[in-house]
Amino acid sequence: MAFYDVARSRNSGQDWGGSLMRYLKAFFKFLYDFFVGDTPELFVAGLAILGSGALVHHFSSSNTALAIILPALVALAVAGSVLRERARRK
Amino acid sequence: MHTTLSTSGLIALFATVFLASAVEMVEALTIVVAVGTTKGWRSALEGVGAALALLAALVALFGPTMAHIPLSGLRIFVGTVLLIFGLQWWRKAILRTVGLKAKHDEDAIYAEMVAELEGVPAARRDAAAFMMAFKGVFLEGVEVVVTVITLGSSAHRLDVATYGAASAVVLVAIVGLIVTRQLSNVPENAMKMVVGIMLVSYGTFWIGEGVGLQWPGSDVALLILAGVFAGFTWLFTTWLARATPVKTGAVH
Repeated sequence: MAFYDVARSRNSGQDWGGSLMRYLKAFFKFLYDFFVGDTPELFVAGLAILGSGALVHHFSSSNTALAIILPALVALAVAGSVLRERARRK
Repeated sequence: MHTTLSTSGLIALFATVFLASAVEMVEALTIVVAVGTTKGWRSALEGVGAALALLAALVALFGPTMAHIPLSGLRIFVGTVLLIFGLQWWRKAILRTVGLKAKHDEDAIYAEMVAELEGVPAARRDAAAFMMAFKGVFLEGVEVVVTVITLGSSAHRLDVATYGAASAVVLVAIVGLIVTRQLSNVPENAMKMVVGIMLVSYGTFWIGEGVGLQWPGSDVALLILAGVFAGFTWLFTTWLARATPVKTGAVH
C-alpha cells in the first residue's frame, strides 16, 4: 500500500500503534521505490562511486586522477545499467 | 546566506531546476486535466491544492534544516542523492532514445486515465478524482521538491532554485490551460535527457567537492562535466542504436 493510500483507509479500531506502523511502512516503501525502485544497481553504483572517490582522494594526492575517475565511473554506471536492461529484454 | 556562485553557475542551477520541474509538471498536468475534464474540476483542484500544501510543508520542513548541515557533509549527501536520482533519469532517457523503452505518451496516459475514471459513477465530491489528482501532483511534485532542496541548499541558493521551479510551474500551468490536451507535443524525452545529465553532473561535482577534490576550473568544471556526459550520451546512444535491433511493443 502506498504512502498516500494509507490516508484513505479507515481506522475503525482506533489502533494508533498499528496505524503508525502502517504509515511508517508505507513511508519507507515510498522512499525505497523513489531511490531504488527497479534499478538497484544504480543505487549501489551511486554509493560505490562515493566510496571510490573517497578512497582515491585518501590514497592519492592527485586532483586530476580523481577528476577523471569520478566521471568515468558515472558513465560506466549508466552504461552498465542500460546494457543490463538491454540484455534482460533479449 | 548566499555564496559567490558565478553567473554561469546560477544560470545552470536555474535552468536545471526549471527543466526538471517543467517535465514533472507536464506529467502532473496530464493527470489533472484528465481528472478535471472527466469528473469535474472541483475535486481535481481540491486534490491539487492538498498535494501542493503537503509539498510546501516538505520544503518548509527540510529546506531550512538542510542549511544547518555542515557543508562537506551536505555536499556528500546531496551529491549522492542527485547522482542516484540523475542516473535514473539519464538511463530512462537513453533507453527511450534507442527504443528499448516506450516514450512517455501524454495522449495515451490521458486516454487511459479518462477510461479508468469513466467507469466510476460521478458524485458532487468525488473521492477517486481527488485522490488521482492528489497522487499525480504529489508524486511528480516530490521529485521537484528533492531537486529544489538538494540543488538549492548545496549551492546555498535555495531562492534561485525555488524561482526556477516556480517559473516552470507557472509556465506549464499557463501553457496547459491553452493547449490542454496537446501536452504530447512537449519534447519530454529530450528535456529528461538534459535534466538527467545536469543532475548527474551536479551529483558528480558535489561528491567530488565533498570528498575534498578541488575541481580544475572550479564552477566551470560543472559545465565541462555536463559536456563530457552529453558527448558520452551521443556516442553511447549512436552505438547502441546500431547494435540494438528495433523491437516493437516496448513497455512504459
